[in-house]
Amino acid sequence: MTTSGPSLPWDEATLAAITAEALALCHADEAEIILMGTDHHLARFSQGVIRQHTSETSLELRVRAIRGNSVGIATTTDLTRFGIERVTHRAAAMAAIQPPAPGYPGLATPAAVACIPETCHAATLHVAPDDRENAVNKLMAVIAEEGGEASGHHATEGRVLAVRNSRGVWAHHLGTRAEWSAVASIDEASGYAARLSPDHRTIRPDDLGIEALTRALAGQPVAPPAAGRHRVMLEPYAVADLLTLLAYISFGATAVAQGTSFLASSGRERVVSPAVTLRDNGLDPAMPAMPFDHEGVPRQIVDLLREGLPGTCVHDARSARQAGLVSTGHALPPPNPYGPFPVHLDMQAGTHDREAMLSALGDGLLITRFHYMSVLDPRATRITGLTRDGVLQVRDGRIVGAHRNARFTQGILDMLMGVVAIGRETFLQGSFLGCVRCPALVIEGLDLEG
Amino acid sequence: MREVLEWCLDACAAKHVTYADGRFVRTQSEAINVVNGDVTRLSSEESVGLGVRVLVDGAWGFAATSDLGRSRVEAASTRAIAIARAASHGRRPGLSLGPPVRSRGHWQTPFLVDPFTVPLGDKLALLCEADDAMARVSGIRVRQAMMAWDRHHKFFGNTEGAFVEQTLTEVACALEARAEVEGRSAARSYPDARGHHGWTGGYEHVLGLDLVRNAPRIAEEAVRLCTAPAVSPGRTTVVLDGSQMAIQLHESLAHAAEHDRILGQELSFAGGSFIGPEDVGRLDLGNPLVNVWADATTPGGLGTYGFDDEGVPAGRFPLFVAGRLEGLLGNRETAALAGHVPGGVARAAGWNRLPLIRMPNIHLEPGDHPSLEALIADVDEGIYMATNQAWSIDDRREDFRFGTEIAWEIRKGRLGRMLSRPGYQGRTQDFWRTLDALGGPETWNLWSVPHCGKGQPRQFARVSHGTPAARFRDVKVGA
Repeated sequence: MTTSGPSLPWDEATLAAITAEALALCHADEAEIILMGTDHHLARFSQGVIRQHTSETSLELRVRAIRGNSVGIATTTDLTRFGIERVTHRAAAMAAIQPPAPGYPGLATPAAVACIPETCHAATLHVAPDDRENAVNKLMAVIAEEGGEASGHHATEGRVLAVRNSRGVWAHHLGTRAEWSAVASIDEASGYAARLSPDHRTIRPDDLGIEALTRALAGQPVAPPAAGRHRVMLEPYAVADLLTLLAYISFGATAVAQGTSFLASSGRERVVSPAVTLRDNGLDPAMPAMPFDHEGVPRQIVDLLREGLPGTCVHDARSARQAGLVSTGHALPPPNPYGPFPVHLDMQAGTHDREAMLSALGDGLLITRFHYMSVLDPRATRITGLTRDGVLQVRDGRIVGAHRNARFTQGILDMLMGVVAIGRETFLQGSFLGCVRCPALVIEGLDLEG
Repeated sequence: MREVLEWCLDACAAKHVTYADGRFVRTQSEAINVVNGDVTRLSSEESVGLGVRVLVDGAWGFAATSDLGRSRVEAASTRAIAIARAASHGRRPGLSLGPPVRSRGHWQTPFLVDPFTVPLGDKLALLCEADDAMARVSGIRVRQAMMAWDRHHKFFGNTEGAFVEQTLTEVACALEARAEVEGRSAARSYPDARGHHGWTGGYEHVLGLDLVRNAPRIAEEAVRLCTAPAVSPGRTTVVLDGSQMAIQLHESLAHAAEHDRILGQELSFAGGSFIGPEDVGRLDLGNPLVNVWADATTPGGLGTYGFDDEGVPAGRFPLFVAGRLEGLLGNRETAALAGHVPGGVARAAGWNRLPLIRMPNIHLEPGDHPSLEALIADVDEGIYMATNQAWSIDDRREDFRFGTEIAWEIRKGRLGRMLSRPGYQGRTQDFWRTLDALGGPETWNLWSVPHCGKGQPRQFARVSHGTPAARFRDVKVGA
């Protein structure tokens, strides 16, 4: 591995200087300055070649200007003196127009932010283009050796976040993430594997290739499974798909306040199997950790589901004030009309190894992942979607064949109520909300339409 | 900005690349959201940067930077070349872009009223008035009113001699009322769901919607939906409004006609297609009513522009004619591979994204039924569904399930009771064969799909679909 590749062009002094300059230039009662930077490198491959190889380096400034209870927001990527002046003026002008907002919670005040070691890995920052190509070629070769075609992506990223406000908050963080996905295709059969890690070196592309290939080699799919309720084992990819959507529709404070989350109407009764515990954990260095949110508030670990019982939703400053609580440190970047979301989902592992999971499944289906899920009734967590990249038939704990993809329509909580076994190994994966770490699950019933 | 592009292209030419292009983009976006009377968003965003794409030894490289100093721009060019060289190892030769693109010119969105010149106070007052109108309806728990307007100033140049400048202006607005009655919840939107009904053009589009007059209507419908009976599962005749037809067209035919999907290049993420590489001129949906066109020239469409992000002039061409597949959505690379003329449909979501094959406006041509009532008049028993709410389709664009916000039963040619939780499903080719009538031009409107996702890193494109109301027989329906 060479170290001649890209490195982040912004150090702490640069971030401090830009945010201080913007704060000084913002003529408002109060102000909050956010800097978000990315140094992102990615290769997408299919049919044995890298088809897209991209690199982005960008830094963006976001300003919240406050006049009384009125908030104006402006952003820019122009970080010249002129650009910074303009963005602060635009934010202040926006605030001057807005009517007073009674729900405005005020800016964050300084608070101790957790120190998370090892969130930034030089190896992840320093992947040279040739090294990336070699890694992708390794994965593609493993799949090609068995007559398969590989497609997928490999990305590495360094991210910076800095928050400064006129009440004295100053927080900055540098983190890295490396991500892989791989699909192995053999005629009509396909298999999938994916991983995310802050440290590029912990993911072995050839292992991912073998994992995806193993699923594709289980057999050519001949027909969809019969319509009806099936006992299934959900690979961690399928579990991550479900948990991400559940978090999106249920665990943000806005969904609770607006009554679309099941948390808005549930009491203390059990909503899923007592074996299920799900939390948001942005402080674990094994995740792409982030010790504070985009308001500079220290991030808390929040129990979303605890031993089958409903936990709490996550909050930013505004939603917390409305609920009479304190922020849990889950604010997204402004302007954000959607409110806070959990972005570091972490499901508690079980005790079963893979063989024990398949034994617990007995006769049933092994589902790799889901595709294009859509919410039909958010409060009932009722969704529809399809299986993707491997629906394998298991008999007596052994994989014996493959099916075509099938549609399901069901409540996520209903699926999680029937958890029979939980795997002891967890996979960390990227998601549209952030990341998910979760095990495989055997569940009693998945309603497939055949 | 021409200077910035020249720095980038000169740096590429000096390294003897096969091809290079650069895009300088400045995007300005302003938005207002009003939720239950509170202004939850009042924002002014600006994003400026450069993306450079190079072709070296048959492989692409792309680099983007928000720092537009000369040294940073040249460094981005060098980085794009380095990663293209890395990707070219072991590459199969022969990647061609077809005939050179040497477009020159300027294009800008026509509009009557520049949305950036309308006072923010006026826009805010309009949204607050609509919010007030929804608030007067008992049973409404959440009211949302939003408006957004964007301007994209784009410069494109390539090493073949193209240089084009475009200024695209977009406006969007939407209302949503969510009711809660007797423990049940339901939402209605206007003019469309998904929080963003938009056009390229000016503020005249917003004024033409009459938000304030429609606000109480959707609020009242949301309240009534809470106690309306659900659609019963079964098979029946379905009449779909233009909004739902837009998403039906978008998901089942437009995405399926993307050449990169067809070639398997999007297999791991966006997915594939039921259409095969050799299907042009052969695949027949078996229904002469299916006439689908790609059209990047439609006035007001969100997929309307002068040139795509490869500098190819915008155009209009058929995808399906009388049910037969006659064209694909391709970029220069896939068009050259197939011997087609590039359709001008390569678009990037910003300066920091690689141009991908993205559909422009895709339209279903209207039929001969002069009105929605005429479509319904022939139905003895069925359901009329309106305003898309949920959508799901498999990775080959075959097996779909859609839901709408609202429906009405049809009895003996007339609309009857309101129905809640409407949904229908089918398989793409079978479903289009069951289309038996289309509304005429009077029922044809542009509808928006504002967040069409594709690519890694994720890109969201905006597109419009012109669709009439339509009638399908023997459709599987249910809640």
